[in-house]
Amino acid sequence: MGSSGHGLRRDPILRAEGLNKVYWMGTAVYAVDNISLDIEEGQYVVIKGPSGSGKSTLLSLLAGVDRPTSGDVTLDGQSLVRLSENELCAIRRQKVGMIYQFFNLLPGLTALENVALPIRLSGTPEWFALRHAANLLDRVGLGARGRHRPAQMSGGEQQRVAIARALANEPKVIMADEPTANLDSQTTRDIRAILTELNQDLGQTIVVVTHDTSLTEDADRVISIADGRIVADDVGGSAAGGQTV
Amino acid sequence: MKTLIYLGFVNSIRNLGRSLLTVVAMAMAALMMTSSLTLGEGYTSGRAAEYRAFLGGDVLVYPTWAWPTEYDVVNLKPDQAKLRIIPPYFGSPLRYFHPDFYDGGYLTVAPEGGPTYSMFRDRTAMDEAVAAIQARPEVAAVVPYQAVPVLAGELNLVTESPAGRIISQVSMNGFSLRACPPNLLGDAGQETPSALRLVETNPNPPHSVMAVTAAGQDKSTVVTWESGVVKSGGRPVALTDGDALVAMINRRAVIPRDDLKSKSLAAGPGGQVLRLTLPRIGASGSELFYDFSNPVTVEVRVVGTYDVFSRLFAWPPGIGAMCWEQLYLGAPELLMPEAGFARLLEIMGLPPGQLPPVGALAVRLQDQSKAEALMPALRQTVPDLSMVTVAKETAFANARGLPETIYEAPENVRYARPLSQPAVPVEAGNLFGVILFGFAGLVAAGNATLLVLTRRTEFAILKAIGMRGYEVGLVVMVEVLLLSTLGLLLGFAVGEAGAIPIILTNNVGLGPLLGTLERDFGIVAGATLGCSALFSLIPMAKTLRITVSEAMRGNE
Repeated sequence: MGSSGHGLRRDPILRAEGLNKVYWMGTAVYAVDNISLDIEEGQYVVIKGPSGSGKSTLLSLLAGVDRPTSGDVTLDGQSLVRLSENELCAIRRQKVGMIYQFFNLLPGLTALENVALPIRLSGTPEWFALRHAANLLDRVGLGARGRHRPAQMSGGEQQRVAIARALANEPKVIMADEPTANLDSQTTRDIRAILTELNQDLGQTIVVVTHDTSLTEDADRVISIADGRIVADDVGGSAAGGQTV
Repeated sequence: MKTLIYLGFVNSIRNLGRSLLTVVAMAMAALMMTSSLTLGEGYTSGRAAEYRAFLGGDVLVYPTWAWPTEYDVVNLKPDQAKLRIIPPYFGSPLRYFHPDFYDGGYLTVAPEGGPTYSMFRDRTAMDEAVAAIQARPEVAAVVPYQAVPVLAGELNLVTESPAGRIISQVSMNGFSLRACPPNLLGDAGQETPSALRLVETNPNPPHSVMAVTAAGQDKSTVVTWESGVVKSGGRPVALTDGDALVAMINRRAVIPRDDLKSKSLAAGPGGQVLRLTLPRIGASGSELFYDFSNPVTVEVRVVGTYDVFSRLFAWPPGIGAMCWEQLYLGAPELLMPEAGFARLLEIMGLPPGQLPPVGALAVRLQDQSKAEALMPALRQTVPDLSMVTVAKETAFANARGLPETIYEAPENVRYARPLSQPAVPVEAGNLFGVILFGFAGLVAAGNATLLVLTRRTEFAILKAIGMRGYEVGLVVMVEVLLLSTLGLLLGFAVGEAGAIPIILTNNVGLGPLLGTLERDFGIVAGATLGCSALFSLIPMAKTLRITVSEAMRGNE
């Protein structure tokens, strides 16, 4: 498992404090209801829960994609709620790598260009961005498919490109929203293996939202959510016989 | 920025099929503007072709007082030059363009006491002006427009009828004898552009042609007339005539239109000898003048006739039909070879080396299409003189009401434009262009906005991976601009291709049109891309409202 399982306790890389997200639909609907949690650097966290439980909303709040109604999110020591849109863009570009259920690759770009895009947006020279992107595609086993466009690739391959893109700017946290929901079982195993490898070999902090129970087997920590609240926080992972707090 | 442009490029290629409306709208607008500009230039060039050939130049240079502007007239001061009518015998090409030319002469602000003989003060002043203009590399030739008035003379015409030959006379009073510009000589040198030479064509085309366009008849098959000066009878004058007193006369000025088939010049093998009464040239100190009290009679042999083809006058006689009438410039002039004209002046009493009667300087440029662009520089070479381009003044003269006589068209279409607003067609064309680009811009904006709305996820992804809102907007702008550029290229190319018939039918050559290609493209590109950039603000604004969380919901 990740480094948190072995070492000293450090400051959390990601912290949520009293996080609420309320939608007004005649009455107040709490998509996220007073959630507080700390995620330490190197942790592999799976957030699970039934459909509509608020796990994706929680992920978008943690990633700075959405703003909470109240509460605070601190990423790498920086509070996200006080940041402007442009500052949040910079945070997403530099510190967060996102992986989506529907891969969300840009259809007009090749795999290599998709991965290189966030690097180029950081102002990195093109030649370096393309070389780094090629290395990342190699890492996810798609070194030979760099010139292919998303439409020419399978779902699993597209998701692997998305993982490479998420890694492009060496983010502090990778956040994945149902990354295996659209994949068959073999491909799911491949994606799991890549995520586990990233966590174990690189100490990459990973937060995955899923209802795929197989992913919980790889996690350091499994957080269960229902009705916008944390109902269980299993540190050490269920497969490892962790403890529910 | 490079990344944004690349993304815009990729997107525009990928969405080309869905953006055809934008491309077509912009292409149409660019086409209309290109056609307006290029055909306008071609038309102006074509319309001016006869004047250029007939006058021998692209630019006319004359003293500033000869053609007062409205400002000059309004600001006349009591102690300064007053409005003065210069009599019509004072030979000048301005008679074809001058807004204030009456039967009685030209309205000018000429200085007290003059002019009585020439637009130039003395020989030195003229030679200096010629030398200064000739020194410009863009100038091919400077030809003084030299003319003397004819006081009396009779030209014999022959009417062939079943009853026999009837001889009638036409008075030459009011005509001018002019030194033939070198380009109209029968043996003009190879350096003379083909558009300025005498046209060898059918001298008697039909007066008018009506085509039933609704029946699918092709206009180009019925409208085949040319512009320029055409040899219509006898032979042209030539350098080989030496200093012989020979001339060719404007046929349209002496034979009524309806009599062209029955009447002709009574001429033997050597032409018709014409006895003309001319004023003697007298001198008062250094100043020359026409001495009408002591005329001189000369015999000039008329060896040929010419017609000055002018524009085609077109009007629709009804729905699905079009009429064209060929117009002619009935200039009352006899053209003589320069050596013969010099001998004539000598006979009239001009001392050797003295100032000939010059009405203006006709400047022929190496490239006529650059005439307007060259005017500021040319004006600087002779700051004490004024100058106009023949093409522009022709257009203005036509807009005021054609100087050529119209016979066929109904009265109500002959002077469709208000006489006081010569610039109306230009402004109307510009306004039409603005309206068209407004529509094209709205179409492009609507098309791009729809595309943005159907690709929300794509733009949300860009935001999710860290692209700022305005950067996403710029991607959209680049996309719209690239699609508009495609439309621009298509529209411009088709517009230029549409000018080919003008090139073919106006006998002006490619030069005038190709010369303005760069300027036209600049104007059309500026309008197309400016319009696109402006209207792309609408889809850009839409992208600002796309939230990153939309990327979580799935692909388009």
